[in-house]
Amino acid sequence: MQVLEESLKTHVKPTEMKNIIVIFCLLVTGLFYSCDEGNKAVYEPDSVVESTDSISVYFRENFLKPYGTAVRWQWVDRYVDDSKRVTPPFRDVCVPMGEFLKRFWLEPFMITESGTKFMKDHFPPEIVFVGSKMYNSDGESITLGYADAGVRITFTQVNEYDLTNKEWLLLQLRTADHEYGHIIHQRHNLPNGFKEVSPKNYKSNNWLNLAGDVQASGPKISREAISLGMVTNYGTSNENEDFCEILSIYLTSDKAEFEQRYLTHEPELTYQKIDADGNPVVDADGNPVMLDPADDAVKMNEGRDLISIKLNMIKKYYMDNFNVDLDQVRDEIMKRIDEVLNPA
Amino acid sequence: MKNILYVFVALITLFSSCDKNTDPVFDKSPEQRLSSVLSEYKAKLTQGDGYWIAYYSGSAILMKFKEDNTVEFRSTYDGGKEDKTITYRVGASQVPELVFENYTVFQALYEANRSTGEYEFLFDHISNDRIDFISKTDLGDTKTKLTFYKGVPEDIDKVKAMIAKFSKMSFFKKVLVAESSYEAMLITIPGEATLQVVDEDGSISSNKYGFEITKDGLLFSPEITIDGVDVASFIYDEGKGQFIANASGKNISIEVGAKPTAPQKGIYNDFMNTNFKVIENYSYALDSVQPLLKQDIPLLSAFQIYVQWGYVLGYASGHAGGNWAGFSAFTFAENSDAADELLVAWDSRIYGQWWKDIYYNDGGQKLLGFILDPNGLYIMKAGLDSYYLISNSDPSQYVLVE
Repeated sequence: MQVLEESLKTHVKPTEMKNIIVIFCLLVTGLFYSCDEGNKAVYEPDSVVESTDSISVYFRENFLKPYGTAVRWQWVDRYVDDSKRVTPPFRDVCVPMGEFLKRFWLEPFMITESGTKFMKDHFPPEIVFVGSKMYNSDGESITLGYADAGVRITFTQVNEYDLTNKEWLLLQLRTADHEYGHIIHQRHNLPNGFKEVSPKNYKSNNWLNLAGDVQASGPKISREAISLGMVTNYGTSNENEDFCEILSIYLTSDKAEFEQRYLTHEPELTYQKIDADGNPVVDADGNPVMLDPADDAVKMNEGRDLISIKLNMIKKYYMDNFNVDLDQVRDEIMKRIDEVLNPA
Repeated sequence: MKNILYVFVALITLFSSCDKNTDPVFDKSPEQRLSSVLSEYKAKLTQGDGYWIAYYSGSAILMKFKEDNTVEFRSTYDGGKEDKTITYRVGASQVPELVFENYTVFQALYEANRSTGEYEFLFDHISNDRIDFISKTDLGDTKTKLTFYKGVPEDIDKVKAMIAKFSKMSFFKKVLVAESSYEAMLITIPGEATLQVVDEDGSISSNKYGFEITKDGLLFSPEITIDGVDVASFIYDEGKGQFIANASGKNISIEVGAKPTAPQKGIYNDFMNTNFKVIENYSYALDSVQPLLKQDIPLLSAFQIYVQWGYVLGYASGHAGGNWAGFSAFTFAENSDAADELLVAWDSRIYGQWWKDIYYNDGGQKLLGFILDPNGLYIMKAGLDSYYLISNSDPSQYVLVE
């Protein structure tokens, strides 16, 4: 630019320069005024006609109007990562799946006024139904449900809808509560101090290498994960997943079972065997039958203490920020699960 | 003088830069024009009574497209169990596309083979009686193609009748060209045909083609090359019991024979060299084996044959009781009455926890009956280490093992 200016100064006389400026101004003025003001630069799409399909009507009435949530039950490929291989849902399962989400995910929170506000304030703008498992590009491994940037939760295996199948029911419900947890911490951050409880125990992608010695699947859980202060193997990947795993497993577990596995200390010293009724076991001579503690008992109990600390932080966080009592929500969810799995 | 010239040029530019009277190239906005094209495509799908038939992945699919964006199906896939009425969408993300929006036979075919199946298609060519599509999501140059042919409701029953007829035909099919010495062998399994030609030096060259049974014959995609001529379809001549085609002035026929002209020498030893084999595909006459077995063993993926160890095992990863079960103590021997043919015997031993799920299943019985053909099995080379096993008693029954 400097070179150009010097060049003009060298070759153009002052009067000519003045003329050039005048002409330039005229041209610019012409440019702005000569175009037809009637032209519309912005495309205005035609008005959208609402679908009269009974399934669309159901989701409009039950999710879009009350929560502002669009449920994507008809296949649109942009809602799913194009490296995944999936199929869309059966029409027949879409409304039942919507009812399932209302009954087991939404309503247990909404038994209180503050819980209702909490759900209406945070319910995701988009829910996507995928009929099949979500196969990764290797064609074999699968991704369970996931949440995108706090705005969309995707449910997989919707075509396997079966309320009497505890495994399926918990998979879907834990997906909902886990992914909803992401929406919460993405908007409000993790509870204060949560990251500092077990910062050195996260394993990033190495969580995949953990065993399934406590529970082989749905979700996979190892003693090592519990020793690290996490409720599942996946929870060891990072603090965000840790938060969501504690939340979803807590909300969808029987109180006694959760406490037994994750909170109650196991013996660290030799101890007397107890039978199924809780009575001490003795041998033929009347001597107590003694058992050795597990090799990792101390570490397991240390991990349980970490889980207890983080769980209390999460409970307090929900109570302080949203006036939501997670114990109450958990009890309501478990009551509803019991109703379908063990009908009177 | 020069200044006046500058001002003059500027004024001309000013007044001529926008001509309000210029006619637009198109009367409508791009969005309106695209919408119009999509409406036209949808109108094509729903024209008349909305029936179209497609031959896809070894199945015939009859569709009835309706104005209300629903589409009904009748197919030959899995006895029509997956024929669900769903919604469809003619839209455009990049180019005009047809999307089947919920689960039906196309998605079932996709799940059966996730690497080649498809349920989102891009419009390619359109005419009154035919619409050509290509896959939206296939990667690479070779994309899945699909053609809709204008149909009538009776078409699907005609296809079923043709499949029933074809399924009884022998494995051995010769391709001949009238007034030519050309001769080739055509091997068909659901969805795929292989043309084997014996070259002048005695070597065998094989080419594979997509293959479908239509309402009146056979359809190949891409076109099958026979004696230098490309042919897409053959019509079944009931009187002659042959499939015939005329292309570029050549009369081509596919004749169904009973037996091979001669066994491939040394093939028994080749076959036995590799212990582990998997049954990859079944002829039409045996194609009920897997679906029947899956009723009792939903996770069944394939049967494995250990020709040296003498096992025939079903593999179902995750099935209660273990991944494998089946039968042991088989003897895979060369037929003493016919060189290079296989004779299989079984000492009735069992393996694994869920062998009963196979043995007491009609599909399992059909498979065992085939393997234990008292007259033995022909062995035909299919590829580098893949073979066809063909029942001697009923050559319409055959499998591909790899």
